[in-house]
Amino acid sequence: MKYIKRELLDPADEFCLKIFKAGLKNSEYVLSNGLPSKDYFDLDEAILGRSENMFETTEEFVKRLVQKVKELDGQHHFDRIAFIDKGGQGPVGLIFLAALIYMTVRKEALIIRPFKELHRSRVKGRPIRSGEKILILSDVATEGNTIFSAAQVIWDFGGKVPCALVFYDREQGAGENLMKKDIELISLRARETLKKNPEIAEKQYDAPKKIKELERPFVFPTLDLIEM
Amino acid sequence: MQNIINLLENTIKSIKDSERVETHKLTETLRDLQRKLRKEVFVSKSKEARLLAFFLNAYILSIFSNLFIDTPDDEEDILRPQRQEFLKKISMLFPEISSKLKANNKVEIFNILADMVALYAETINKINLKDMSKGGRHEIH
Repeated sequence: MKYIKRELLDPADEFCLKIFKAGLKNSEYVLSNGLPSKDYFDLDEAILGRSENMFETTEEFVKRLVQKVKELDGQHHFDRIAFIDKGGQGPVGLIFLAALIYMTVRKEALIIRPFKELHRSRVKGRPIRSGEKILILSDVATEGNTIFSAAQVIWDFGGKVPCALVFYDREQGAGENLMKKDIELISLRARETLKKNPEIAEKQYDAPKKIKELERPFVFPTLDLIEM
Repeated sequence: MQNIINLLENTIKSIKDSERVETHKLTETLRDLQRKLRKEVFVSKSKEARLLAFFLNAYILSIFSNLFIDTPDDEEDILRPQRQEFLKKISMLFPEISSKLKANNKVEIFNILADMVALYAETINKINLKDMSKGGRHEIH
């Protein structure tokens, strides 16, 4: 099946643009897949980094997200929502929102830990039942590897993954790669669409990268911190 | 390197001092060793000591984040004997590392570290295979 890009947010939704403005970082990074990227989105930072109207912002954002999840549910009738824990820190990019989201959507949640070596430890929450339809919810898609790894765990238990919803799609092949495995990638916003917003384009995509950050000498944490 | 030897010797003593091999006693001892090894990675003057400290630190962290990770309660019967066996075997390797370090026998040290990795991988595989035999849908990828 051919991948067709699908974004859920209304382009005119200024409020959500605020979240993206706060979460997109203009610098150079190495992603967890080892690839360099100039395109970094940190949802937790977007929420927590806002000192003004933080609670209202979070509430409004969750309201919009929940509405979109419910629209998708109307189409696919999900049994549960899966969050991904990549390294033991909790749901990637959703640490502060995961509980709020599934409580508001009123869908049973589970956490997938795709990179744990004991297979039994890869699912947190009630075991997946054969045939259960699960929506994977994550923050950012790059090539789709993390979402695919999580889907593989769900398939191992006999579950189904018709689609995955991410906040931001870097448009680096995730949509096409996941479609090959019959998973439709849906985003709230994708890179090319955000680039059309002059203010975001100027700040995030067109501005010179703050590579000076990489030139700072690296300082090892103090022993006191290491001990903690 | 003497610091690493001391840490290993203390660990061995601590394991011997416990009246019987209890899982929690061994895991506490291992965790204590791991924290001290992590310090050594940053403070040791010897590159070789750093390498060994780094390996052992990462190794013990892998044990805790994979082999001793939280799992559904009703499946503990598969894990408990495998975990205990693993701890028993790993405890026996520490005196060997320590003695080879004292003798500065690098080839033998390397061999013991290779045995440690083999033991870790085999234990994980055993548990996963036992899962499958119990009707789990898991596959080794």
